[in-house]
Amino acid sequence: MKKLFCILLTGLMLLSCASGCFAEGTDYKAIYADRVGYVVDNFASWAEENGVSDYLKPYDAPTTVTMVHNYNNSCENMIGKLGDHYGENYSTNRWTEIMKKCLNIDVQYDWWAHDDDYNTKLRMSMGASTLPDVFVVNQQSDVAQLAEAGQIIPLNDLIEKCALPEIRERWYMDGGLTLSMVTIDGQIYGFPQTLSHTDDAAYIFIRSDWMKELGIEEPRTIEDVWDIGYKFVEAGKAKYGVFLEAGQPSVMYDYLRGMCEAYHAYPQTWVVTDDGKLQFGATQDAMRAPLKQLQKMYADGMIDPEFATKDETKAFEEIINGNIGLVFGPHWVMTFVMNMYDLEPTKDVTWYCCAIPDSDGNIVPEAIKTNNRGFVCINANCKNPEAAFKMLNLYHYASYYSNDPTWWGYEESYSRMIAPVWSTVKPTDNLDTYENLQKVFAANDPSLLEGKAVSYYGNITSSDYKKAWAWNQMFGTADYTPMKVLKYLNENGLLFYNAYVGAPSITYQDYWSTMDDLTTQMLIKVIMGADVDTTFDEYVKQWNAIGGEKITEEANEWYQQHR
Amino acid sequence: MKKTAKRSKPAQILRKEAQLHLMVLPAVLLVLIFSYFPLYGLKIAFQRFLPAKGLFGSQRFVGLDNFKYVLSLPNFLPVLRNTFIIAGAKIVLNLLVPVTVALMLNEVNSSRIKRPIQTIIYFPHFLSWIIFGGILIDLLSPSSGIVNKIITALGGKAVYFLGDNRYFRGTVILTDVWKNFGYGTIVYLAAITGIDVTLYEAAQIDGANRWQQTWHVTLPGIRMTVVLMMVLALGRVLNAGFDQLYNLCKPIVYESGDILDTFVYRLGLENGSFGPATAVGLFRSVVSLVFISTAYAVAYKWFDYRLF
Repeated sequence: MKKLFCILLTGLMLLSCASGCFAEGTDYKAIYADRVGYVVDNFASWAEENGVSDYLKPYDAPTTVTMVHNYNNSCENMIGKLGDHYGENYSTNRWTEIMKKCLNIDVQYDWWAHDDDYNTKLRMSMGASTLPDVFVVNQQSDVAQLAEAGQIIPLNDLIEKCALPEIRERWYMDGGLTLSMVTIDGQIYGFPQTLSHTDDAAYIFIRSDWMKELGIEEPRTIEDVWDIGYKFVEAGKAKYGVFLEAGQPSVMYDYLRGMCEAYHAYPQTWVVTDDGKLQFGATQDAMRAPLKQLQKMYADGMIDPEFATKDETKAFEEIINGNIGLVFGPHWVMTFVMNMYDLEPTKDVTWYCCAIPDSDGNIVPEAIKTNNRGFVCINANCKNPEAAFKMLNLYHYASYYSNDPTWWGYEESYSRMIAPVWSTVKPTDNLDTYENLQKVFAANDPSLLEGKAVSYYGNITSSDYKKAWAWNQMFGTADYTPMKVLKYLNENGLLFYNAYVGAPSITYQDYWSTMDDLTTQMLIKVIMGADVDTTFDEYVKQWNAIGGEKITEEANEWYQQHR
Repeated sequence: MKKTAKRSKPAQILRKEAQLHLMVLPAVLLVLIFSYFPLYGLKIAFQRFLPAKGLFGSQRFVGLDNFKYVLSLPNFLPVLRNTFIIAGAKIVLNLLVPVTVALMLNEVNSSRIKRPIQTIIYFPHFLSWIIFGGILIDLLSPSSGIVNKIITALGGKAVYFLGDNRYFRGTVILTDVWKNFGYGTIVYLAAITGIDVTLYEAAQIDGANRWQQTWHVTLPGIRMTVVLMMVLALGRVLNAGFDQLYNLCKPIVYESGDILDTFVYRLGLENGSFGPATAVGLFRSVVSLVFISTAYAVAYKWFDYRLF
């Protein structure tokens, strides 16, 4: 028996070796030459056919554009593989090659920095006046400062004249909210590297294996949801009724937001009141109800008594260890939760997912916000400001209209991220991807895959069980997935944007972080037992006093101009 | 006679000691570059500082606006109070505890016991706060930490050391002493070793017991070391320990644990308000200067001790 097992194992090893060899046998050079060649040969005719030749016109003389660029851990993993396959690296790769061959642009990088250091390093360049021609700025307030110092130029005309109409259309799909983030006195100082706007939308996740075991029905109202949390604890399944984390204030709202929304309170969102004015959600009276509920649950031991000091990873251990069966959070919570399978690979854990209901059982509107990976700004000393737009247009062409868009943008999941300027996805990208995947699964035809659905499809059908599980829970064909809920919300007009995204004013820059601290402290204090009404009133008074009143005024002024 | 007088002329001294001056030059240069040159940046405290315009750019001068702004923040006074309380208690305890432990260890004769103790209490000094803080969070956890397990086993109620404003400051101070007293102990033990043994013999002949020997020989013997450590410590009176508080202080205990350094960090680096952050830094330096000068004057007058 043992011998047989050994032979089998050896056989398997040989097989995997062989498949490895075959994989290495792929002629990467040929693939590379083919894909790059296609773009070089066809972009001009495509542009002509679509009447956009002017947007993709190459320079007559070689033109150098200096840049800096950011990367993250995923990029680092990817660039190693691309290096092995094609000899690509950060500064010379498929993207820089087509920029040169198609547009006659030499992209020259001053430096690459990890996301952790990028902002600091960019501020140093700002201080030392060594900014390159084209660069990404992540902080809204940095854009404002650069504009005030006259180091970057307004792009209004360039956006009209140089950005492909299709890209421009996508930028305005959110009603111009994203661009208004960097609009100062009517001048637009950057263009966005767009991302899906629904990434932070909140859902309810419940352990459905426990629901089945205890014979619990699907919840209809928010009270039903809380009830399930209590029942899990009473039945000895869970230690705590619901997940909450506040040791890392920056991520606390990801889990708190949904609970507040059930009571029509939106703690981190500027909302429009009945009389058409803007008000900051955390200071609205609607906050009292969720706070009272959470306070009660904390007193009942339904919330981890250490929620106020645990950081995100530590707090998640409780879910992974099977101590919590009810979570309010964004869809990517599932990627954290998949680590459960490292502990108990045999256990069949399933999660039910639904939209957030209020106490009448109506689904509540969900707040979303603009989302992008920084703004591309152009140095005032840049001799060819239109080059950045030309490069984005070519990026767009390769990502959507070449013979293999996936190879360009989604090889090893992230190959788009090393393009000089990148990402022109629609704000509804997640939803589009989900719908595309559903079509593919229904027809059982992977050839229908588009854009990032290709890599998501790979994850869902991955042989790595936990990866496949998590991605199926988010984007797959499961009955209860957050994306299915999102689709419902979208179709029923239940998504609305944070109403104020204007460029930060001086008061905002000076006082917002202090006001943010105030909000966080109030929330935690009340949940842990401080009197709801007096603490909340005191908070609102203080919030208004240190700058809230002024900022609300500015927000309303902005809103009048942009509604 | 004439020859020696000639030799003491400055130029000649310089020539004679040229090599020594050369050797000290790198150190002086480093101090100039890293301690004196940055003083130029203090002007940021009086500007509406935009990094985009650069340190040498034409920033807008705003006088004392940054100071006024900081004072207008509702949490500035609590932060100042926390800083004084935490730093003050740390200075006092970080003096008393090591001296006491050093005296006690000095009485231990067997080096088989003494050395392991020394090593064990010295060890936490080498851990960074990011690691030690992680250990503390686990040790002090109300649900699973060993400290609270003991408290509940003895019939007490679990204490939320790091999440309760009543206990937070005490926890911060004691854990800091725990981490650092080993280092102080070693310094004082070394000072004790330096005391002339004949003094003890003389005291014994005069009929002094162990306690009297400690009081009249050991303590006066290490007096200068204690004063030195005290003077140096007072210069840090507004330095309540960024590393520690940054790792342990969560929003729930800002009320009792937010100190100037963590405050400046959030203001300056997370929020990008360089002007106000520099203003707070300048304020801190001035207060520290006052404290260290006073301590120096006192040390000079009462103990006839000169540091410089």
